Amino acid sequence: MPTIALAGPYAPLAPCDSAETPFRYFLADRCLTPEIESALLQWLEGSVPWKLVETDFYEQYEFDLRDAALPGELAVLVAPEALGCLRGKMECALSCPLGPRVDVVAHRLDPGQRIAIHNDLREGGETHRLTVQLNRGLSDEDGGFFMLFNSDDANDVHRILRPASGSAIGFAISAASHHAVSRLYGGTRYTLVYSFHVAAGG
Amino acid sequence: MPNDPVPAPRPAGSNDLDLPLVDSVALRRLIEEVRKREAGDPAGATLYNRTYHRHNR
Repeated sequence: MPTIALAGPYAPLAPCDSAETPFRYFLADRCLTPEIESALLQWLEGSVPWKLVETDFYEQYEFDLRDAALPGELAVLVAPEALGCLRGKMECALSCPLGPRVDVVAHRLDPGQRIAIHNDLREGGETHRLTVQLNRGLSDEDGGFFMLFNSDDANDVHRILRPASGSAIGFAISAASHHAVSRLYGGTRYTLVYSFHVAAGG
Repeated sequence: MPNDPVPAPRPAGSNDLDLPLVDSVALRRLIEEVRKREAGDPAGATLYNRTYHRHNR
């Protein structure tokens, strides 16, 4: 509905840059309204059900927003109308029809943590991703850069993005969508990770 | 800190998201930080993806 697109929590989301290679993606300076962004950051810094996930090659705190009791002012983030609006923006930006299912996971990176190069591709899994940065301001010395690659070789860097709070990257998941997060040295780096699925027959 | 302000929005069209790709010690360090483990280590993109989804679904 047009009113949702103009006034919903995802109203600010508009691509400011896009690319087709090495994989289809877009960047946005902002994704959420300032009020939602501020409330969300404050909530994530409080008592939310973080789970530490450790593997040989990445370590971070995570939780699925379906497992959390969202405060009233943030419930709109997962309201079907708002997620439908967000899905429409993703469809326009990435030129692909998407199905109604949208998953939302929060991530938290603390100093010392990083995520090695990977591509998110999983047979039968989600097909498109939107990652929204949330933090109190990270300097270059703090690290936590979102890195994009031309191949699965870490030397083959395509682009390095600062984790500016409120900014977002949306991309189509494929064998080529290699990315990583460099080690965080200071501050706390939160992200909201939205997962989408290509529409049946799309 | 919880009471710190949320950073102000950046001017439209600014390109301060990009870290310049200048061959440097700093860039080499970033690459090493995200490199997959070398031969013999099963941890690769596929394993990462499976692990990520096991923990999030």
